[in-house]
Amino acid sequence: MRTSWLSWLRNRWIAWAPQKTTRAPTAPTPQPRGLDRLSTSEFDKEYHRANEGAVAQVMRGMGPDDTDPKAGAGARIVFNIAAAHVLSFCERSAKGEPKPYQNAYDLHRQVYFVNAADATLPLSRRQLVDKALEHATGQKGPDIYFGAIETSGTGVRFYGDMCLVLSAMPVLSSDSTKPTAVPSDGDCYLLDRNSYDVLREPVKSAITDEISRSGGTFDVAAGECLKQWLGTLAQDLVRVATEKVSIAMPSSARLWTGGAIAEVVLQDEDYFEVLRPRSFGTSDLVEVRVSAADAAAEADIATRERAGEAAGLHELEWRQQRREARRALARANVPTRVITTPGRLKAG
Amino acid sequence: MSNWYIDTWDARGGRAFASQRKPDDYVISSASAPQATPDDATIFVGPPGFQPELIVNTSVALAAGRAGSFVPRVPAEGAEIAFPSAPAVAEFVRRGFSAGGGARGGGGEGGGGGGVPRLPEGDPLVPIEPLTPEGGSLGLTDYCALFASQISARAVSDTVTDGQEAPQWVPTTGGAAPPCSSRTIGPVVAGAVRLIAQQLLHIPQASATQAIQKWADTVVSLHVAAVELEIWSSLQVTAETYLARAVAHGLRRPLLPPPDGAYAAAAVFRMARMYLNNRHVRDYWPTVVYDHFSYPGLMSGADGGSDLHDRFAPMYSWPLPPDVLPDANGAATVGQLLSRFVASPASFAKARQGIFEIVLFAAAYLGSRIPDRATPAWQTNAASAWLTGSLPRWRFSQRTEALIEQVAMHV
Repeated sequence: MRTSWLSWLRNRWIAWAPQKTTRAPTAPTPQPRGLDRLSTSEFDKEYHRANEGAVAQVMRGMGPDDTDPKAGAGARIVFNIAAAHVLSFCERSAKGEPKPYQNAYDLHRQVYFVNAADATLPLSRRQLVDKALEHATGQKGPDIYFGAIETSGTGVRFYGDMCLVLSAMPVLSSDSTKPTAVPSDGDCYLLDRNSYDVLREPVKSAITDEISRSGGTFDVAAGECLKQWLGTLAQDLVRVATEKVSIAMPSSARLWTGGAIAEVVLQDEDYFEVLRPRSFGTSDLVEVRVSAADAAAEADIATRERAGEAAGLHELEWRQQRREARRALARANVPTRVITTPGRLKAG
Repeated sequence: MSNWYIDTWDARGGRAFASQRKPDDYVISSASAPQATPDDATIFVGPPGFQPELIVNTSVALAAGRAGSFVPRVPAEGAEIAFPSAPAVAEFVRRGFSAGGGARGGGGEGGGGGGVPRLPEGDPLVPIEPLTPEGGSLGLTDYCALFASQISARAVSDTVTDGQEAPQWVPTTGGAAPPCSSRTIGPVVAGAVRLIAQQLLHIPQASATQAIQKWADTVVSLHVAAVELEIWSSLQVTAETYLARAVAHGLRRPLLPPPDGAYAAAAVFRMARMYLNNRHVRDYWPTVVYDHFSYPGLMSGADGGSDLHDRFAPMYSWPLPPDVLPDANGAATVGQLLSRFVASPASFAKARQGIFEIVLFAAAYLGSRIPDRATPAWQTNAASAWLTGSLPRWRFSQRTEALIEQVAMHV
């Protein structure tokens, strides 16, 4: 006879229920019966444990009942760049240059800042945060490449319409029967929020108050603050992701879905920051993702261009850049994929 | 109300963050705490819409400066540029982005499927004398003077405040354009004539396979533009004298020993067959060859990766005639010229009419589907309508304008 979902819930509840102890009986607690059990706080805890497991599965690229990651799924380090820069990125990769993807220091943009060696001079905000990060991690600003954690979406769109997805899986399967291995990029530092938050309220004032009480400099105090948000990808990603999803979707007697989890992990302007201590090239990518919204806008521009319906030059330029980017990626054997449903793995 | 200042700017990518704050608020002391000022209002601007978008987290704006593509201060030196409004910031970013197209090509892998085409050098048969337009006889002087005056009205001076609204672009109507007749042609046709003649004068050697393919792509895309703009008859009749000069030059090539000589003659013939019905063509070539190198054969040769239906990308394979290059601000192709012109029209205020003719031809092609295609000189109206949607809507100071021009030169 097939077990009904209610019976299943009842059995789960019985299995989880605390065993009787020998302690003296206290005031009797009314036991929930029937459907009333669904609203108990203990039952919520059971759900939370199940949801925590679901987050771990999503981070590992697995469905609820999977034991092996699905291709292209799971938490990945992503870097968003504008289509205009994909061509030069691919060319540097093809030439075997050591730093195909470049940070601000690689392009010698220090010229925009005053001399950091002189402590009496003011620092740029980026230099200040870089010093705070150096205090927290021991890594120097020029050595760090800042990415984000993404599962199945298109990254931080503000930084570019092309989402470069690294192939490395920072979180491996928890299956104890499989050989233990150090996950690629699992050693990267992970911040559960943007490191520039130390310069914004309410954290900025908290750091200021701390300096007023204890003395010291802002960069050191900010570095201490960053330590509280800091972890490594392999060890802490599942934990911080669970915490973030818990805040966005308070624990209750509902199961979190893979799509909902994925959307919370990187939500609009709010993302997990990854400090990768090395650059990367096209050979390190599993794919490049573009959003369905951008693809639709591009297709609309193309239609108007071909029909002679006065697409503006900036629109034509954008379309041309994206087309050149796709061609360059194709030459480098990097697939480009349109994400039609962020949070779900579906090819566009 | 405070001005807006750019926090981070990706000029080539067309992305920027800007905040309503004090200038040079980007530095703070490491020895003491930064002032606890309220968080700034911050916007994001990006393609393709370039509409200011309010963002909550200033950290996102600041963190952009870590990527190599974003600069953390505009400009790098001197006082920060102050913008009176968020739309003024968006216009600055849009124009810088448009200017970036002026740097495409240059021999690398660029738009149009292969970079800027280079004109053959050292070919003894390419006429040395430039094929200059016969300005007065073409009847274009007045029209282009009007166009230039409108461009000049958008010029800037030290008294212009950054972000000041530009004078409204006055579409040049068909009434302002000279009528097409046997002695006068419109500026759109004149622009086409310049570019087509250029191709007739520069046929690649038969051994230069890649150059031949680029040449064929250019010829075909120019032809498609001429058909779309319905200037075929003007090219065949009105411009006959002008183009015939180019054909006459090109037909000297059969004097070369084969195979280059034969190829060059055939190529010139195919081109001429498309645009002319004059005695140079009719008398010179046997019918059998005439048919062999017919228009369908040329069309089928277009295989350079360009889509015949695309309009913008092929313009990067349309080389500018040498006689307009001194006025092109460094552009080598029509695509580059159009990008630089749209981004910084004031820098072309003193250009001669050849530049305007080519810009109008390209603009008319991009916006050819206007409702009133039945009116005389509708092509000029189409060009004006397209330019209205792409030219600057705000004026900036000379210093800021120079920054936009630099994007086209140095991206």
